[in-house]
Amino acid sequence: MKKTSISIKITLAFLLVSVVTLLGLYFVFFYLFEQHMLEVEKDKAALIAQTIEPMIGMNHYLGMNEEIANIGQQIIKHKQVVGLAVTMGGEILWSSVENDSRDHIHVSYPIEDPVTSMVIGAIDLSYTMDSYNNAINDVKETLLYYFGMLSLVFALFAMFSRYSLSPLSKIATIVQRYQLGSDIDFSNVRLETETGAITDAFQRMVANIREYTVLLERYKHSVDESSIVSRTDLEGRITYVNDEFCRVSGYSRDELIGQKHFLIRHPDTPDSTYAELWATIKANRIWKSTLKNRRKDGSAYYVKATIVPILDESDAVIEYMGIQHDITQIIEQQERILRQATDMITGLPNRVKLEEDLKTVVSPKFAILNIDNYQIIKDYYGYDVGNQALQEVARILQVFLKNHNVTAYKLASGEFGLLAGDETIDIDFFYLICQHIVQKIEEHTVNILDNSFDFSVSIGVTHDERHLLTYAGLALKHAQDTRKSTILYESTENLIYHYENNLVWTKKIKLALKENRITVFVQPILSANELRVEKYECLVRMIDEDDNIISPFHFLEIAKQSKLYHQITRQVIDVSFAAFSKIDDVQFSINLTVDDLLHRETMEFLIKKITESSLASRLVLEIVESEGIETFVEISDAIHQFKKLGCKIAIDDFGTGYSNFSYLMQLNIDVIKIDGSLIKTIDTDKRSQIISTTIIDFSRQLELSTVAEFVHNESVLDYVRSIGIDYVQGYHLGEPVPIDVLLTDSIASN
Amino acid sequence: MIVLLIVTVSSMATEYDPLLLKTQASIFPKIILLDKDVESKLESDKIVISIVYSENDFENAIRLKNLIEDSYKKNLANKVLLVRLVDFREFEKENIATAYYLMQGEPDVHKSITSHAGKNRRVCFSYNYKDFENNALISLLIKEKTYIYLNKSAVHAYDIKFNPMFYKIVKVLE
Repeated sequence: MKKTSISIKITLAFLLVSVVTLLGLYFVFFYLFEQHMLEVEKDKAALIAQTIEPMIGMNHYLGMNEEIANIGQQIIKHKQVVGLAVTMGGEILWSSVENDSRDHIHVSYPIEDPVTSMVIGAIDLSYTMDSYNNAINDVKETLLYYFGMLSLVFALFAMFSRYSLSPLSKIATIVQRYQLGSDIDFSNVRLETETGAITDAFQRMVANIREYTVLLERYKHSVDESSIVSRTDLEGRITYVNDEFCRVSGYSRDELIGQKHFLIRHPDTPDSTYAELWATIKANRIWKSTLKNRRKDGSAYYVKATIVPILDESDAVIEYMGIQHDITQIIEQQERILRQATDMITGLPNRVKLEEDLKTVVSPKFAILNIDNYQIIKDYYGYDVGNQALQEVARILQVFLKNHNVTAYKLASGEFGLLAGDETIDIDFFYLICQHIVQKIEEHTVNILDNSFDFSVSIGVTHDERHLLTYAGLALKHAQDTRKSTILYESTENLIYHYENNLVWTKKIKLALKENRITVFVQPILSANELRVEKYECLVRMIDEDDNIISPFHFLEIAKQSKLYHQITRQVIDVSFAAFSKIDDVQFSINLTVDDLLHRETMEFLIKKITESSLASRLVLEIVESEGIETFVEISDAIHQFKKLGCKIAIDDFGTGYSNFSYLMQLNIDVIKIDGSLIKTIDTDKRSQIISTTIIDFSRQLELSTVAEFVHNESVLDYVRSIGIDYVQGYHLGEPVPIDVLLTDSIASN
Repeated sequence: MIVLLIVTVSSMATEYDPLLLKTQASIFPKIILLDKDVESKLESDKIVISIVYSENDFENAIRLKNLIEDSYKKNLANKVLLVRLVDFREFEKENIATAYYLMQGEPDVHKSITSHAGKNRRVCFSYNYKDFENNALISLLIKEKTYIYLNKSAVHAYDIKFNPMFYKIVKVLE
């Protein structure tokens, strides 16, 4: 639609305002003037009546009525008075009416008695409206002339406006034809002060536009050089890509233009990412995120993308601009870091990540979880099973901890870390969580390959920020030592003392081994019937630097922890074989733990000793801590091998814990040593009596020998002999003595 | 006998225009009421007009008195109107009327009466306007129409405030 020019608008507006104003003024003025004029005419007529009224009144009062007629005659001569009547007491005293067709007004004025002031009559006067009509006509005529003049002024004003504003039209035309980068020329425009200012402003604006255009070009160049830039239409078709885009994606510009961005979409990027992207930019908002794209050769590259909707003046989207930065190296680096911080078996963050996280966590609560006997499981079933066991525990931890703000880490072999960085989780609650974890894991039967495992775990918990890992480790150690599932590290001094003590004892053991102060004591085992010494049990003792005899109670567990245990075992074997090779016709037993049986070096040492000596038939291998040994094929094989060599196998401490008879048959053992805790109260405790009797009956049927340990008085001896025990052993019958003493006695007796 | 009396009187008396007398009888009493201070000039709440005549004008004076009384029936504006006849010779200055009417007479006598009237701020009519020379205040003449004359030179002496409109209808003589 063609727009009306400003000059016409101004003129029309001026005309409209003027006409409305003048018409308003005309009607208001004319109405008021007319009314006023009418009133004036009435006043004039009234004034005439008022003027003659006193004289008429006075003349009438004095009875000079002829004078009233004279007055009437005088008045009627007035050119605008066309009628006059003087009425007294209701009778016309005098009247004169001219036959005049002119408009007139009628005025009646009362006549008062000059003495009493009472109304005694009236003057009725007819007055022509000639003056009024003439005045009105004069006003109308003047206004019409004025309007005519005003119309002329309007016309002149319109012409002047058009003339004055015509440069603006020319300026508008020039500006409309202006093209970016070209000059703008107003030389043909008639310039005055205002139009000059406008053209100057346009000139400056064009200069600014040119300046900004150059600047924008430089910005664009900078962005193109530093970023991956693309533009797409509203359907996502690529309309522009910069060189960097082509370089990174591997596509040429021709291959990209007109294609949808789907071309570079990597299949790993989920649909939800693109759904969110489109939802955001279609809502005219900027979308920012990291995208995994696909190069032409199929390889992946990562970009940090910012998608900006480009809006027109009415805020409608006209296209989308994507500015991306290639962060492939960063992402790959992050993945490498993540891999470094992730345990590859379980997928859990590892110790590196834990130490990193500990730097930022406030009021941490930390626990170390250890799978009991994990090393044995791994050694026995192999790494694959061990790894699967770790994965299973990790899975349980992740499932259980996902509802708590507790992170699980994979630490050393069979160990997991649990870190609560949430200040809302206090140590009591964290401890409770740990207890539940123990419960969850121990309730869970894990099936790996064809084997079922019921894991038990130990957990050490601490919230001491200074030495989280150390104290949690100490608490774990304490839990394992005390056979408790979960221990909260609280008594620092006790634990430190305990482990300092361990260190001291470790040093002592090492020194004792070095100085050959690990020695063997022997305790006699007598036949129950004849009470004759038939065997000796070899028992380890340590002689300290002051020649005190140290019970294994003080150092054996510590030796196990410090890997000195197997040296001690070998020392016992060595000393025992050396002694009993010099003592004839007596059996001797050596204690072996499951660790010993699974320890290749120790077993080879023992077999070598057996095969190099002729003591196999006199040797009884007492397997201590035998709980669960039936599950180990290696142990079964070892026992079989020892039996083949001629050795006898005894099971120590039978009758407590999870002892059962079935594995006795599986392992083909020869001797059962009933646990001392049953024997030492057997003379009084009914329960011990029943269990021991059952074991003896069963052994007899299996043709196994039985030994009662801890026979510490005559009453116990009598009772065990009464229920048919084969052998007896205990302080009542003979205390342990140094093996050298036995050897000396034997040599002496020989 | 009446005719004889008229002839006798007329042969002795000054001539008076009956129409003029009648007109004056009709108008002059009303002029008294145009005096704004007339209330203070009443005699026992009565309007008293003293017609001062000369000896030979008694009959005209009577005639005038009758004309006035006939016109007003002794009532003027709800007040009693009394008309007294006073011979020039018997004029007593103590006998103050509301207004005086001078028949024709000697100038000196008229001057003493007008002086008396003026001092007492009483209206003094005269039959003949020429008595204005003797300081009469108001007179009346009938020509083509009725004219009431006011003696301008005596106005100040009398110090009487008339209804302003009165001044509009009178002819003022210097």
